[in-house]
Amino acid sequence: MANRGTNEWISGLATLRATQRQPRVRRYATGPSIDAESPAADDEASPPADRTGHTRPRPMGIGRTTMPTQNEVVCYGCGFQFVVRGRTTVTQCPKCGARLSMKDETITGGFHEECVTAGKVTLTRSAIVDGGKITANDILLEGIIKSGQVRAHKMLTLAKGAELPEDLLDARSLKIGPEASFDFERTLELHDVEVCGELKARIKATGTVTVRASGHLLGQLMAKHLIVEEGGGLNCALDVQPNRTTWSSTEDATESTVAEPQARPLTEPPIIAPIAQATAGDTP
Amino acid sequence: MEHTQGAETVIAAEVEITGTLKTSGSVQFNGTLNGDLIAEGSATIGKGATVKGNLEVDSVAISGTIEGNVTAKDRIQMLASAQVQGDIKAKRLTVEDGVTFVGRSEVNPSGEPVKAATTSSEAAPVSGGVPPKNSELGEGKGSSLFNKK
Repeated sequence: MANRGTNEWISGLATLRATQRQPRVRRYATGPSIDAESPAADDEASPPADRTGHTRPRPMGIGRTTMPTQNEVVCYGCGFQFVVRGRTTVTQCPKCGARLSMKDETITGGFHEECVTAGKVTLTRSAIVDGGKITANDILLEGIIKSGQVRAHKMLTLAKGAELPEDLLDARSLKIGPEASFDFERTLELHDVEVCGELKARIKATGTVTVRASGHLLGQLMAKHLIVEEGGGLNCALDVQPNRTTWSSTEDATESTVAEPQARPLTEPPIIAPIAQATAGDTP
Repeated sequence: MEHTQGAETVIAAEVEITGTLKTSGSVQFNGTLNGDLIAEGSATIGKGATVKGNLEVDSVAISGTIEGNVTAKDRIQMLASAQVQGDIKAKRLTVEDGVTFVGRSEVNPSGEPVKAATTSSEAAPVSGGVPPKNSELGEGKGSSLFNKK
């Protein structure tokens, strides 16, 4: 028994020492992984040096902490904006207590029902909305809307090939997808606008208007912030002032609803004025 | 930036010039100019610089204040502290967040001219599209854009 116990102690200590001599596989943020089996693991692969040039001891088994994703959610009941951490399919509004679905939906083919979610709704190219009601935080429109209602509490993205009548949708922010071309006759009152394709409109933006390198903005623009990437086109009458406090004597009442991104009750009138019908074949 | 010929001229912040500043090279302007600036090369308008006149350059990087029209053969770069009251015309344009810009823009990277009907219909509410060069723009200087129908 004693020999057996001693042998066990010896074998255990030997194993522990062997483990300590062999560095584990570890990864650095900027360098390649170092394999414990490679001959360069111990000596030739130098540990990372700090700014003074002194080398630090190798980190042993400490990995990178992963933070949960954060999603900004707008309640489709009361318009309250809050943050949800992690992936979830159902959440509850902390203000009104409404149970909110966070599922992302994809609509293909004919649709004339109701779809309400605090997630994202994607209407594919084959989607045809005729009499339905779609309410979501983010909406990606690639198909056709003939009638019904489409409401995006955060971002409405119009992709190439999308078609929609003037008076059927409203959104807080608008994004024109690459190679898409839209021409709106009425004034668009939005928070943020991102132009990756071509957009011709009269725009009042309380946030930031961004023209990407592939984008082209025409018309008139009144905004607080403007960003134009190199390569972006801009043929506009502009009034961009970051320190703007008033829009005009007739728009003061509008600013109180448009400038506040947090709460937007569902009973408010649509933000976007009626929009001209755009087709995929529209050219500037 | 590239400049065709000549050395770069540097105008210090304490300098105030009344008249037209013309150079065949590049210029870095940090002072006050009451007149036009014409440069065959590039121009850099410093953060504290003020130009009350038109700019005709090959390319320009603007950090200061310009009350007039800017015409560049190549590129206009508006940095965060730039304040421009006037029209701009160039092949390429870069605008950083924080820029104050009141006027018209005509930038077509593709080189295709914009249709005349588009520009004329958009120009109507802006009283001809060219704001006054002097600082006569009062409160709500941009409000006339959307008031006229």
